[in-house]
Amino acid sequence: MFDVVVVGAGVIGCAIARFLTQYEGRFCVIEKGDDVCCGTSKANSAIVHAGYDAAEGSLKAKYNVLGNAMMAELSEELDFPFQRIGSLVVGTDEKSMPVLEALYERGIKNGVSGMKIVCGDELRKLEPNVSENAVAALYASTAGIVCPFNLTIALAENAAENGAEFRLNTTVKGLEKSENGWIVKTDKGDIETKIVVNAAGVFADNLHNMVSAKKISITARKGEYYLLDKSQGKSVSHTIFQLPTNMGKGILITPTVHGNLLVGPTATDVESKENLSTTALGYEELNKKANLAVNKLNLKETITSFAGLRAHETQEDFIIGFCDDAEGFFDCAGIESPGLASSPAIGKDVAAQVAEKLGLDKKKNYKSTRKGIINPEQLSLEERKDLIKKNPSYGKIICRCESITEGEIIDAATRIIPARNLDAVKRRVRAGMGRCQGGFCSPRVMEILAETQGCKLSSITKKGPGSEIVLRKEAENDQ
Amino acid sequence: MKKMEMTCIGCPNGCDITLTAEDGKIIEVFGNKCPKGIEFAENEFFHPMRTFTGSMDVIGSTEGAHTVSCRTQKEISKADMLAVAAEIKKYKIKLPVKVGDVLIENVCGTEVDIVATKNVH
Amino acid sequence: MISRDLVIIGGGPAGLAAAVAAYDAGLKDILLIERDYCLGGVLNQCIHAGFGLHTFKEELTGPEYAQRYIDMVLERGIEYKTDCMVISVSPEKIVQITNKDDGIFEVQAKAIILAMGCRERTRGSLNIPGTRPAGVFTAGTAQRLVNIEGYLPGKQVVCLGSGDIGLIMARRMTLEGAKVLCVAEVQEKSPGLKRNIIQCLDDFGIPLLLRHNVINIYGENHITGVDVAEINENFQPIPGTTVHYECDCLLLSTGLIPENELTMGLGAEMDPITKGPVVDEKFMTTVPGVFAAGNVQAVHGLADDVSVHAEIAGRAAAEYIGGGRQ
Repeated sequence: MFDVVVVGAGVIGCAIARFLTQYEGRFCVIEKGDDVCCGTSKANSAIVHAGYDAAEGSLKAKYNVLGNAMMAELSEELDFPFQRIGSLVVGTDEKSMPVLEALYERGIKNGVSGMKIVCGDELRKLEPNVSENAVAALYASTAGIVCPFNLTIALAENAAENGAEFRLNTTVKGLEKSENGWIVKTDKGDIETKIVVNAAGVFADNLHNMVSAKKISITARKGEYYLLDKSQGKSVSHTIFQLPTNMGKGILITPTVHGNLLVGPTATDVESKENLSTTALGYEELNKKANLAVNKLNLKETITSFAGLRAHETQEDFIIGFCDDAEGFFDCAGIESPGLASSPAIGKDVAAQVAEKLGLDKKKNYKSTRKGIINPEQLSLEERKDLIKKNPSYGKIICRCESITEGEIIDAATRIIPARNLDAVKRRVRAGMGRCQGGFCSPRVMEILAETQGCKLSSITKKGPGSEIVLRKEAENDQ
Repeated sequence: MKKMEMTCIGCPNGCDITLTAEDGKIIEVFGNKCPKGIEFAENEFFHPMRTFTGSMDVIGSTEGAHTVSCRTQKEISKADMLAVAAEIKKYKIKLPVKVGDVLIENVCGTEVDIVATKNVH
Repeated sequence: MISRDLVIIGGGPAGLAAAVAAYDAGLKDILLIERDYCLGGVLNQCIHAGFGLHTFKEELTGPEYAQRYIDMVLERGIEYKTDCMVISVSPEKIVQITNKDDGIFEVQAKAIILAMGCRERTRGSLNIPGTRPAGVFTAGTAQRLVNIEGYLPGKQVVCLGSGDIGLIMARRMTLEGAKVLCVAEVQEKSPGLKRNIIQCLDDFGIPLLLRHNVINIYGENHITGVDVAEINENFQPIPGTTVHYECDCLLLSTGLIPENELTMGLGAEMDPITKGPVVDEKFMTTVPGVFAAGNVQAVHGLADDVSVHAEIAGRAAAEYIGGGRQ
């Protein structure tokens, strides 16, 4: 019997699990994917928004500002990349001034610090590559960029180190009320728990509607992106937004924590919650709108494109709290942007609410820190040489584009929540994320995975069961 | 009279060759820039020939190799290509081997051997 | 710090030929660096015939062609190191190298020959709409999986791009028992050699669809199919021409890009057309004493041509140091 079962191992589910493990109790995270960070958390703008964007008094505003304030310390504790590079909302005509002022006012009301409206030389000094048409911009110094994969993985690993159980490849089929709580029916058997936390992302409405008469409805709103080569990573030094529209914050341009340039997202509501296809229309829109706020943008240096889904709820705000008509069922639904920025605050607050309900005590031997995978490139030459002496696999580079060593990949494949497939390795150590997109390293990474898992190359997948990469040659070759 | 147009695969030049034949006998070959073209055209007319290349599983590699590349020592009939491809899958080659080592004698009754094209330890 | 007269980066066709030529021109103090566990580079996976007609006057397979050069390197006792990755090259010609046994070490060179080869264009840079499933490979990656690892990327194959690697792989997959449904080529004419169209496609009845593109990829976890459509002169799909192919594998053979990260780190001037460094008639880059040979300088059609150019670079490097005058 668990105290809490969290459904969904995205950034929200993992944040809740991490903060829950500060308390005594038995916690479990179930996830239908082959890894944590498989849904919306893996495909988004990777932005820690300042918090001026959400409506005053909304949960989005509250958690965004709180989450942003927690991010720096959390990145120290959990060893994931976060950079407070600041953002600019760029207006390109006179009509944009009132919009920028309104954003500024809203930011003040939301409790955002470090904002100002900048024009002319000041703007160009801040961001030399800003469009010639730019008249003014809202600068927010607290905005930042984060690695969404390593944020989520760090939260999950820290939760696991503190005793949370992660059950991957496990899909919820139904929820049954029991005497003491819930029986979570999954394709891998029943799981009993006192409380269920719904962090199921785009599927959170399905889960909620299983237990509540007050239905919610989540629309998958697709966003398509280009990821540009590192040669373009310095095109801008801030996150550059265009003026927001009712479909979202428009197409942004931002450096990533790894030095690439990210351009996107578009915004299209889609029927299927599994629909991660990029589209010709999406490419067209990105090509047309990408450079509205900046001067020089070399889209020819695109190394890949991808799509993510926003979990858009009809009421336009996060739904966070115990469900009125289902005792012991806690919702975290409709977590779209600024969900990533909000995640630490949501995790902390939800854990506190759930722990209070259950009367859980704080854990005495809680370990608040987690060490990430060593990145030899960030060590001094001497440290790096020492590391290789201790563990020669750090001397062998597997992914040339990103300079990723065998040691890093083995570490990723053998951690507390091991990377079991190519995409999981890529999210943890970036092998295959560079300009050759795994052309060179993927057979080699597959070999390492096969070795650590003690299986054949043909069992290794791209992203979990059903995505096997190669077949055994048809052979009667046992002569 | 029968005319056959073909592209020689003897070298990267890829000469366009026209072959004229009557009553099963070749009358004329033209378009080739070298004698290889004539041989190729004749073969294409009577019995098209190809070099087969492939790779075979190995056991006992000291350097972590999984396969050894191989070829037919000479050209074989084009019609035999798929049969040879299926046949070589039945073997696992004991290492080491050197370039030119015979891996399968008289493969599929073609009277041509499969030989290694790489040194593998 | 170790020092060598000449350091050659890359033990493929270019590096091997350059090493032999430099040695024969009188330079003895050479170090050849290779990232794989054996010399030969991409030739090891190019198991098909078609190499050496120019250089050796006979038709060899890739590994045989490589072995000829490897033997020449061994006969001359030229020093080489495998399983080594070069991390950086400085304008002062200090080459930083890493491997498992020695860790990170530096070699001071008097001259350097860059011979890192090239990489393939990927799906990402082609902007093909659709999902991101398993089963989409560049032809070269598939070639490695089939020929070196001994596994099959799929059984129902569509190939986009008719470069030589794509053509060769269409035949290779067919011989391994897969069905290659078609090869789509966006250009009016295939960039592949005619002989490869004959012996790789025509021999097996594989259709070559010129002026066609893959316009959608389907399948969540694993690829289940693609849409192929005819395209107009602006490369836009022509409505009504779309054909859906059910497949479990999409191979991409849409071009090669010289691998020049080290070159750029060195500060050599680059040629925006070839994507390789600007070189003089002896293949010296704008950094004196640093030469570029083979596909790293510009993508070559034939390995034999790579050897010829690399030999020029090798002799020039010897001459640069002065070893060539004895």
